[in-house]
Amino acid sequence: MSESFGLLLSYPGQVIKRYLAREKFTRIFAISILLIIILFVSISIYATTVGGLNFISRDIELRDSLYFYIIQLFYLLVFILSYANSILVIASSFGRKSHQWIMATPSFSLMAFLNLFQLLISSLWIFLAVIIPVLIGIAQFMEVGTLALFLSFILTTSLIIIGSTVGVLSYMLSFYILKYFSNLLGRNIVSQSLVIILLLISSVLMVALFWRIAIPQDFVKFFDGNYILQIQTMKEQLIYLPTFGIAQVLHDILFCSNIFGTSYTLIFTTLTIALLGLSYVLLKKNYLLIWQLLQEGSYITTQNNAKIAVHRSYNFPYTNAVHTIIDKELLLIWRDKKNVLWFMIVIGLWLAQTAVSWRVTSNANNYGEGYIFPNFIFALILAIGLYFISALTLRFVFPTFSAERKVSWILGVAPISPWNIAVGKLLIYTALFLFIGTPILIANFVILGFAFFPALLYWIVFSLSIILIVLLAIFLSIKYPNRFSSDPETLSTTLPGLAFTTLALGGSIIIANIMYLVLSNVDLAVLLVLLITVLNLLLTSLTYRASEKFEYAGEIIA
Amino acid sequence: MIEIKGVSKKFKDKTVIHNLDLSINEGEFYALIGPNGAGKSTLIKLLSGLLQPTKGEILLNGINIVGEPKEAKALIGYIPDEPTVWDGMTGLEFMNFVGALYNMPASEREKDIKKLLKIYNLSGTENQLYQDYSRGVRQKYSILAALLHNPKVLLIDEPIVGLDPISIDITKNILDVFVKEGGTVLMVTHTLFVAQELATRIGIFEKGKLKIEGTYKELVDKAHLPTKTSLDDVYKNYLAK
Repeated sequence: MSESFGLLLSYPGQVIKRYLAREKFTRIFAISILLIIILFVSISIYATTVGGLNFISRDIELRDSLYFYIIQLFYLLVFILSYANSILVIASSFGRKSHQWIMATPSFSLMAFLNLFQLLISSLWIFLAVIIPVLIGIAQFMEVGTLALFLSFILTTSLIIIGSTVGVLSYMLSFYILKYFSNLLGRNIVSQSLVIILLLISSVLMVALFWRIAIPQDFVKFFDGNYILQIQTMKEQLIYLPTFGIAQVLHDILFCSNIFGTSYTLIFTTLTIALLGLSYVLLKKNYLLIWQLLQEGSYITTQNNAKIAVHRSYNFPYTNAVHTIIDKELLLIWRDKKNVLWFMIVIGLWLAQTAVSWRVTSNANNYGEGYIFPNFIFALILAIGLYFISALTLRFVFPTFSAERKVSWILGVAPISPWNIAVGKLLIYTALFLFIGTPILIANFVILGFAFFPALLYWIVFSLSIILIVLLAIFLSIKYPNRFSSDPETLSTTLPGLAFTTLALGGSIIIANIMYLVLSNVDLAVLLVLLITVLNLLLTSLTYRASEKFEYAGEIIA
Repeated sequence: MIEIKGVSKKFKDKTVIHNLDLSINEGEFYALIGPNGAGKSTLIKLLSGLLQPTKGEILLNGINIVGEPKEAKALIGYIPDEPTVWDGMTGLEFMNFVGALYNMPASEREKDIKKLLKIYNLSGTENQLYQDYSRGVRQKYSILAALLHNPKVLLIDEPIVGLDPISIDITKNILDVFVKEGGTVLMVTHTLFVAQELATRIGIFEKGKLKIEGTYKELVDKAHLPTKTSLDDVYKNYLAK
């Protein structure tokens, strides 16, 4: 067992060693470019944080309470994202048949460690690229010392780990609730989809709770009076949030130079370690049973017989190749419950943001019609929209050619070119994201009272940016297909996956920033539309060239 | 029907196929046998257009697979060694999807699929998801999908893995009829009894090169072995040399 652990721990090192074993120069160059891109994105996030804080600091009456409120929301969001990511990783792990060979060995409990490790890494890497620059930005702005910055890192890492472990524990709890009912009913009702439905219900309840508590009944009253009174009102309302305490410590460390935060950080770190230990012990103890029951797939076991679920088959009525690929993509998204869950989570978060817009506007309107929101709010709405599109693209479009490695014999042998497949995927995902994004974006603009012409310009830029993001993902997928993994979670953390994330997020921030300036200089909008169109044409041409050289099989299969 | 002219395939600095020349006629059943890692599967993937040759050309019925891939691929039916299909598709959807990719109208497909499903007695399983199929059922669907568009050439990488004895007989019969009706088969396999029974010509492939080829009888004679020696022993004899 200890030998297995040793092998497992040395695996990342071996992967890097093997990666650099061939074409060392090219690969070091590629890594350097990637690091430069990540650095660029981090600097952009840092600059946006400092810029935002500068903007807020101009309002002497509101700034302190706004700092407090932002930190509370920031931590709540980090917690929710870690929680959601953890559930997706753990659910995908239990649904994966490729681990059968490990589960058949006496070292099967190793999988508990592997999963916990994998989900923590997948949550924490975002910390490096996104959260560290935010924390450095706040620390620099508030001129706090190195100790405070260090404590804020520790605290945020703890929060991510807490979010992830709560996700694991919730998953196990849902499983055991279903198992309990199975025992009561005398038949097995445990399945991956029911576990996920149960978690979805609890997540909806969590969001409802957040809505009830974190979104105050009256924003104007929320920010009424002096800042001490404002913060007091907020504390009374936000105290019920799961992240309130830890966010309060971070706020005190960064904004109040409170060195007593050290002891609180220690308490939260201890709590994190205890929670992590508990999750590991429980997961290790229960892993085999959970895995066994969830592996039963779609067999519906009754007391007397077992039958396989039957579906209504789609007959692919069109003979046009691109149309057939579009139909296939839609069918497979619909059939995979994990995909549907992903869409629901992203759309849910996006709708929650829209609901916040609505709540704030209706609240502001209570104090007089026609409140005009500052321009940066509209640019922020665009940036949030592009962020959600990037997240969906990373999950569904970027892995596309690599994920189909094992089924490449179907597409590769058929009289359809990789270019046609790429076009099919571009059309369906662009249409799907536009279909989802347009109503939400328009709803935000209508709610916030954005004028028609600039709103139209924003929508045009949003639509062109969707094409750009989807094209970028398809280009990277076809140019750098992964021959080793077909798992979307793993693929998104490969070098091209990280390149996509950084380019898409960096590009979205730049586009949103330019659109912010557009409101005072319309000519910029024309230039931006032209620039994105040129980039789209360039990426289309690069994708076409990459598709001509694309090989479905690789050395590993051969 | 199949012409391989001076084909080489390199993966980075590793050459897997060395300057191969091979011609397989219409109505011929060619079996390629050889040790693991000899390059057999790579050759099949080159012929089916999954890979591109580094050097040389491959013609199917006179059509270059690199120059005119769509036209060439329309002639091919491919049965892979690993019959993986999207888990979220039903068997019927998979058959329809493949038919649509080969431009078969839906009405034509419906009839043909029904007919094909009867061959392995798969009727009743067609609306279940692939994730619920056994290895053998998946293999049967991949064989049927390869036959759906009436190909001229069948490229097969291990046809009977996971099949029960009755299904093996059915598969052998399918291939036999296919060749008798003028189709061409190139099969890569380690199950030598199938090659011995069905192949009109057998090639022994080693380290990316064709070591020797001929009919089963010619291989036995060239090795100076008794007439009834199994292909298994003939093969071992050649590799030992």
